[in-house]
Amino acid sequence: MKSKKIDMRKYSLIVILVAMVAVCSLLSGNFLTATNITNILKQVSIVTICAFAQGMIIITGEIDLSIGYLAGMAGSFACIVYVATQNLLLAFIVGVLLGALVGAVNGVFVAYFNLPSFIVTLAMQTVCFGAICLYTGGQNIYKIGGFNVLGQSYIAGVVPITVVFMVIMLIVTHTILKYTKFGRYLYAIGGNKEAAIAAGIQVIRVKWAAFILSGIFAAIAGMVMMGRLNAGIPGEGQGYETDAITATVIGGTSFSGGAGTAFGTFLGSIIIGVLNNIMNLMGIDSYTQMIVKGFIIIGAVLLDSLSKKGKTSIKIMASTSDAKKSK
Amino acid sequence: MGEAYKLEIQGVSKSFPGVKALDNVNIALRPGTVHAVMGENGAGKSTLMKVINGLYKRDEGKVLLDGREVHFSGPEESTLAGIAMIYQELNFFPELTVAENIFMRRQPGKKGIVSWGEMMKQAEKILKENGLDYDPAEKIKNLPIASVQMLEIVKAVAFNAQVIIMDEPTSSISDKEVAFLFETIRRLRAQGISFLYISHKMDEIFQIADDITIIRDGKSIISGPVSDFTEDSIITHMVGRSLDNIYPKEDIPLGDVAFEAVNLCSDGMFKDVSFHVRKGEIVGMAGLVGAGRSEVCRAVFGLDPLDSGEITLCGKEYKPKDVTHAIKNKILMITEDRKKEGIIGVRSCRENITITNHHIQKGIFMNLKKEIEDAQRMSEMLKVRFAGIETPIGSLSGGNQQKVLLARWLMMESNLLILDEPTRGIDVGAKLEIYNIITDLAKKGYAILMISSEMPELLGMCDRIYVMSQGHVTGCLNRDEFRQETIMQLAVKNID
Amino acid sequence: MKKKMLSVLLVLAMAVTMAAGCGKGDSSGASDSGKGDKDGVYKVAFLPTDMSLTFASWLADELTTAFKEYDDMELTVIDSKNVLETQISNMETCVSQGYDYIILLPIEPAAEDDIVAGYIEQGTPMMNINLDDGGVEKASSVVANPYDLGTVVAEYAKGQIADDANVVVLLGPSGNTDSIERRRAYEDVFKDSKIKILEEQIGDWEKSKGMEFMESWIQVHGDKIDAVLSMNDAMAIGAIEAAKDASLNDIKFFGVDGLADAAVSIEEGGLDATALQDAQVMAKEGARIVHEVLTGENKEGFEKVEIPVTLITNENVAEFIERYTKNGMLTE
Repeated sequence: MKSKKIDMRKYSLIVILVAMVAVCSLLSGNFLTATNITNILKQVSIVTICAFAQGMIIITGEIDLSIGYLAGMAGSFACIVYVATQNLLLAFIVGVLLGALVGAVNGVFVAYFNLPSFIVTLAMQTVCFGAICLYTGGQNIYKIGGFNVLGQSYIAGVVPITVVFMVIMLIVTHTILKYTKFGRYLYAIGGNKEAAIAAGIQVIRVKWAAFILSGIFAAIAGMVMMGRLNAGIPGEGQGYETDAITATVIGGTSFSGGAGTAFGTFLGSIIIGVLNNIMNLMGIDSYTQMIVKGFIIIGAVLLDSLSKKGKTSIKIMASTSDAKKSK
Repeated sequence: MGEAYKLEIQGVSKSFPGVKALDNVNIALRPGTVHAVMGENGAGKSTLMKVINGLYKRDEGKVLLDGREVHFSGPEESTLAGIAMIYQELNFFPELTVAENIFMRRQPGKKGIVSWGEMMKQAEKILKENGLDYDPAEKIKNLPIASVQMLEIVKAVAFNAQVIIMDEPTSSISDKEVAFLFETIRRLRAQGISFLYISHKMDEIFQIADDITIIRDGKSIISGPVSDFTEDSIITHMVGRSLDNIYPKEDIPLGDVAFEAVNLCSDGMFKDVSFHVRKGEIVGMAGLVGAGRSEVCRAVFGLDPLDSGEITLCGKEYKPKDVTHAIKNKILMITEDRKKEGIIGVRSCRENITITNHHIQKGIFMNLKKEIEDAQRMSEMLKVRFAGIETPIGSLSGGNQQKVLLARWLMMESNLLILDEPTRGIDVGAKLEIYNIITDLAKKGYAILMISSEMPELLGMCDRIYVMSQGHVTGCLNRDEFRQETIMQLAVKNID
Repeated sequence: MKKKMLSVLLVLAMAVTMAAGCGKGDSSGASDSGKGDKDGVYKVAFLPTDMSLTFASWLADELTTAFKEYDDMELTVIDSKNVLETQISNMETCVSQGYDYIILLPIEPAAEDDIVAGYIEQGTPMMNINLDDGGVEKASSVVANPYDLGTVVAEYAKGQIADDANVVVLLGPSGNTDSIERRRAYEDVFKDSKIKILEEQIGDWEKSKGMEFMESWIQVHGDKIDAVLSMNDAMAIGAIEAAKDASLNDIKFFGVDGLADAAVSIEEGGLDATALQDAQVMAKEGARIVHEVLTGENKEGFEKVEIPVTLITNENVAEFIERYTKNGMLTE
């Protein structure tokens, strides 16, 4: 009874997805095939990893717009390190550290100096992009050789590595949000920052850590992206932050903070992926695609707001029935 | 039928799916009177308001204005018909001026162009007529809440309201402001304006109301002139049972000094504040709003800065650092503003109960199974009424929210439990339960420091009361010295 | 209080800088009529589209190098980050700062023509480099014709694929002149063939988009795709990655741009052909024209040249690999 609302929300996404899959398989015979499903998963995996990061930040009531460019920078830089050293592990670690560094800078300004995250991370976008372009002179990094195992190899011959990364990040995010104290604090801070402080939570530190985590996620996404593209292209990360926001919001993460799940984000991302895929399979032209996508996003947000309205009517009933019981 | 009523509600019922919010409610408002509508939170008072102004459609019954049945489609129409509503949470535009707020949506001028000079002039006139000396060009956000409320009333009258419905108007204003508000109401009543005054504050009702209607569980229980009622009889009707003594004070043997503060200072807030609390003792802090009581407690809890002073906690020195530090030293506090600094509204009761306990546990992961057990046990112990521990705390009534917050702190050991206005905005029934909980805690040996603006509550519950004025402790009274007048004198004492 | 002080200080600081800026504008405006600074050095500005784009930054490098040959000219590069509004205000600034010549790598030539014509009229000579729709009579122009770029690759592709081949097409951003012209060239070259376009989508010049579309197309058409005609190299190379992943090795890939990534891809046997707009040649020509106009050697005040386009295939790719390695666009 009590948790019905949350569950319904979760199921509603699954219902939408199942319905979409059913319709899509009628529309195109190529849709429901193993390779196509793999394609969809491959195509959404990088955005989804970014969306996990974005989701955690939005849950705390902040936003991280630096994710896309940070992914581009950290991924490209890891390529440079790999090309120079031919050491994949070292390149990966450098990428992760770079992500953590940028996240830490974001976090310092947002958490310690209380600046709006929108502005800070917006500014970090250009810092990231400028930094990598300064280093490479605006050129892309080619001949990255073995670095592409991060994005093009298969586990057991069938499962693309990008999908493996996505699933690992899904498990990590889910664990953080559901089973760790840190995750619980993220919800608390997003739900009511003042109350979280009064409950003893060290809000500044937790927020800072959240941004560092987001940076690390973005960096991993960036490295997988460059591996998949088989090149270090700093500009390719651009726009991933907004795609990530779309996925999290469709996945039921509340923009005002305090609510959202890893699985929701995952489903939101898959829904967008399926939509893109079916339109490409059907050969729908680019302009129509844009229009359809726009309306689908509005539709998803509308659904979200309608389900919230449903919540308020439940609330009225709850308080009155409450009073009844208290005779 | 001899008397003509200004506004009459006859047999009104309203159901929501699964629950009957209003059940045959009857209220008759005589012209030029103040009619109090009393009831516990959730008794149906706000639903009633919305049925009157048409936000909700009534299922049965009639609403008569000047003897004619009316069906409003919403607040706009009811306002036009002369019924003004003043809500608990005020609707105003903080960045706009007094004049603009008065004339919101009815600015003088032609063809959509506002005539500013005219508006200012008219605003000034309206303010003067009502004895308010505000500058019409002042921004609303710079005025105290009570003044804004006054503006709402003035605004309503200026635009020919005949009936003014007020929902808990005094919940957020000081005593002085209440006096001024009542003065305004009395003056307007003399001019023939009628008030429907929704409240559950006993003393106010006897000051201002002419008639009373008591609502319980969506039904109007009893109506009559105020002289027919006593405080006890009102409570009896409101909660549906009689109360012999609402304060369950028991004599508990006091233990050692658990907490002692000497000469606490904070620049501009309080100075040389010393007090102590023993185990098993309930110590009150009285004073007017702004006397520095909350600030002292918040400083001890690590929420506000403390400049100097010494604190001894169970024989050991203690220096406030932050809330985590306070909690680790077993100093716990229920903050004053429940909505702002207490509940995490969108999250479940379970999470709200256990959050701080997780915080002081070691390790990265939480034990979810134990968490559910804890939440269940604590909410059963404090008799929280909800659909279950997964209910978002924001959807509970104030009393139940407060119980959940108490549960959060009671999961932990305590050297000092600070309660800042623990029963503010809570209905009578829940208040009683909270008093019982507090008494139980004292029996278990808790050292309790309680801030309250409700004098009877302090007198009824405490073993000792410190009185503060202008940031200083002006006196400390033992239970046998408790007298409202003495406390009042100490609370208004001038400090040089 | 502190805040107020700070804002007052800021306003003061701004006022001072503005006054200084105005003063500077005045003095250089005076020297403007005399052509050239006190030291007799001409100030030239290069306004590229976006320095984070490979070609633009390459061109900027080459221009800087080319200008080093002349000791009476000095080049400043001012980026517009691919925002038209920024580029237009940069032009404005350059004119008011008294630059003697402005080289423009236009973002939207059609939108900028009138402004360019206006400044030339007022006495600041200008050049469109790399991209020009021919809308300003008195502007100099150094371009590799986008239509020619398309034609060169299309001609080559025609010889490589069957007359009734199935192709897929990747386009640049909607409305982009380069993309439209290159597409038109393909159209004209393949006019009489029975070639069939299976799919055509806008890939926004991005590698990841090219890859994503190709994955879906392979899903739909399987091994029926014979060739990928891409309006730039990045999208083509993205498509190559997708084909590689699906183990389709017989597809031909054609791009345009001819930069380092393409050279590497051709060398590795991915891309089949691309056409190069050679920034080095472009820069040398550009610098020459600027110098001639400023020194008065060129009486007309403008000159329009089209630089030849170069087809790169696996036959001549080694030459470019070497060149790109030398100028730093390729490491190792």
